[in-house]
Amino acid sequence: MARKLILDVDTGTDDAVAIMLAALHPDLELIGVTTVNGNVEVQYCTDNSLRTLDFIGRGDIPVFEGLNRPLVRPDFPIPRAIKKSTGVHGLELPLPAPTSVKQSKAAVEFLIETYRAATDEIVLVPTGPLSNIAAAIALDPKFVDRVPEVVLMGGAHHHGNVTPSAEFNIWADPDASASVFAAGFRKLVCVPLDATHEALVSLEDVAAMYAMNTPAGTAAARFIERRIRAYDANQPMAERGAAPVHDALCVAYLVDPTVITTDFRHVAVETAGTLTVGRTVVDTNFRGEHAPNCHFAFHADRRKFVSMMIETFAGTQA
Amino acid sequence: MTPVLLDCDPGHDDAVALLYAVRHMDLRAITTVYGNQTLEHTTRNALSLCRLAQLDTPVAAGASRPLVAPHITGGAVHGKTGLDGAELPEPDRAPLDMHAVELILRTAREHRGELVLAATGALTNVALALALEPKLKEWLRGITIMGGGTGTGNVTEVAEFNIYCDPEAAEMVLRAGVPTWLVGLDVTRRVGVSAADIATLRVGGKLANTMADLLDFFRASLERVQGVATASLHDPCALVPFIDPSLMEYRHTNVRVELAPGIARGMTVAELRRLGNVPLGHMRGSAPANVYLAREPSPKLVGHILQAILDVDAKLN
Repeated sequence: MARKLILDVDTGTDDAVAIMLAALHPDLELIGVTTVNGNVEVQYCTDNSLRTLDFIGRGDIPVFEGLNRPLVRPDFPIPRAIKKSTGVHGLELPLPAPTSVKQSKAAVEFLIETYRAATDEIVLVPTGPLSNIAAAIALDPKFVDRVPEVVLMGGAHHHGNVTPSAEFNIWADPDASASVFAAGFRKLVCVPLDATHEALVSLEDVAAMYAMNTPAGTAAARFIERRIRAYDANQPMAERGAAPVHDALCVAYLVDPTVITTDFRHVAVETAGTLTVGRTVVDTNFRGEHAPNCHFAFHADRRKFVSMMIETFAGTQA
Repeated sequence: MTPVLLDCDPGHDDAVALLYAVRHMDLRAITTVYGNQTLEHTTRNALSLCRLAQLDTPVAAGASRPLVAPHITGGAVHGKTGLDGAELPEPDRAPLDMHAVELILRTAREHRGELVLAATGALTNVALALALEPKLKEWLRGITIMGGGTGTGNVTEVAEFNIYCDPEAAEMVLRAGVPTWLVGLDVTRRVGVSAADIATLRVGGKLANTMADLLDFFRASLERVQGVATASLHDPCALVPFIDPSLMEYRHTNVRVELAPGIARGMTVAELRRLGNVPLGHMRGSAPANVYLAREPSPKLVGHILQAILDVDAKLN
């Protein structure tokens, strides 16, 4: 039986690849997509999610729009820079405008109602700022107990991206993130930059995706090519001509847990720091007083990850 | 040989640093600070080590507590005296009748442009000296520090002991504008001695055997408290840039100390990202490079440090 999941996204080029992998992999059943303010403002996240699903013929998967700002702060920890369409994401993904429309129900309402009614296990996969998830935790005291597993993209131990010590998703709503890590979920898996920066997708892989001549292959190739150009210019990886596709790695983990290597550690989020706001504070040396709460991924298997995407987008997996 | 002043809180690994400096540098003065134990103990230990190693190096005691942070000590790892595990000789002299800060300034004035200030404890004395004498930063060739860990902690999840003792002092020192080298826990944890490594010191005389006793105690403490099988030689790593720079790789980058009272207080925040030339969306850059941050120790470093102890031992009467 396919594993059910909900994706909570801020689409976003890597979110779009995550959506396609979740919607098309035969071992997964994507029951809904919720959107949140993050990479771009939430109305663009919703529109981008819809056009991605339409393009691959999965407009049947419902999209619910979520929070348009962080839970507590009026904006990100420091006011956001003016968006440049030349960045990693752009405002609108390079696909035709959607024909599907978002659901009238709000994302947080959908999350709470779905888990309240669920009889099967549904994995919750947040790959944007955690505002929706923290709101659900606050609104429904039983929400945490009803979610069997959370697999989120966010955080960083060795170095961040938005600041030297913090990763964007956690930094963008640090208060929400702190609440999610402290909530006591039965199983919490965190896929941070330490892992995603090892799972790079290259221009060669992009060429293979273009060559498939499938909608998903074409879309993934466009998104990832854009990411590679942007990373080479402003955040070069150890290897040029390659970029991480962070969010899709979470989805890949649901299919094959061995795409990442995790350590079970206590993780909390810094909300008070001036240099470290939004940092995932990982107790790597067991110096803190708290029991481990999180399977934190320090490494990833690049070949397994890329092969899974290529097979799924070509529609050739066994 | 490079003149060096060692500001320390001995401390087992401080003792190793002291001998490493004696072997390869011109150790001009020793100043002490609270930390691994109280100031009284660390000063007494420095004087005992001088007697053991037959040194007449001037010793002055400094700060007994942090500038503003609450006072902590490292007794759990270094024992009641700060240097448990061996019979050390009683000091045969008192510390100088001057504050450590005065000795730092006097020594720096005598060796203008040449003196290296090596700090292997809390940075309270160094921060006070820089604040008291604005010209000090021009007199020093450099400051080299053991502290921090860029995400690896031994007091809290992310804060290292020397920095956590006095984060405000550490931030003052990193911002002072002196050429600064920093080696953190993330690196020094990879410069550890096993019981077998320590046993190699037993071929030496009294000094080498006393150091072996001290390191055996230190290793056992760390195994008990932190669950690690090797004893990290944290403090001598600070001297490497002026002894043999080929024994460590450095990255010139920005490092600051988190001072806010959250869970990351006392963390050394280092710029370890690779940033391109094009500014991106939300990404925030960091201030200009202010520190040569140790990244990669040579596998030869442990042997080099242990050999220095044997060399100093061999020269004693």
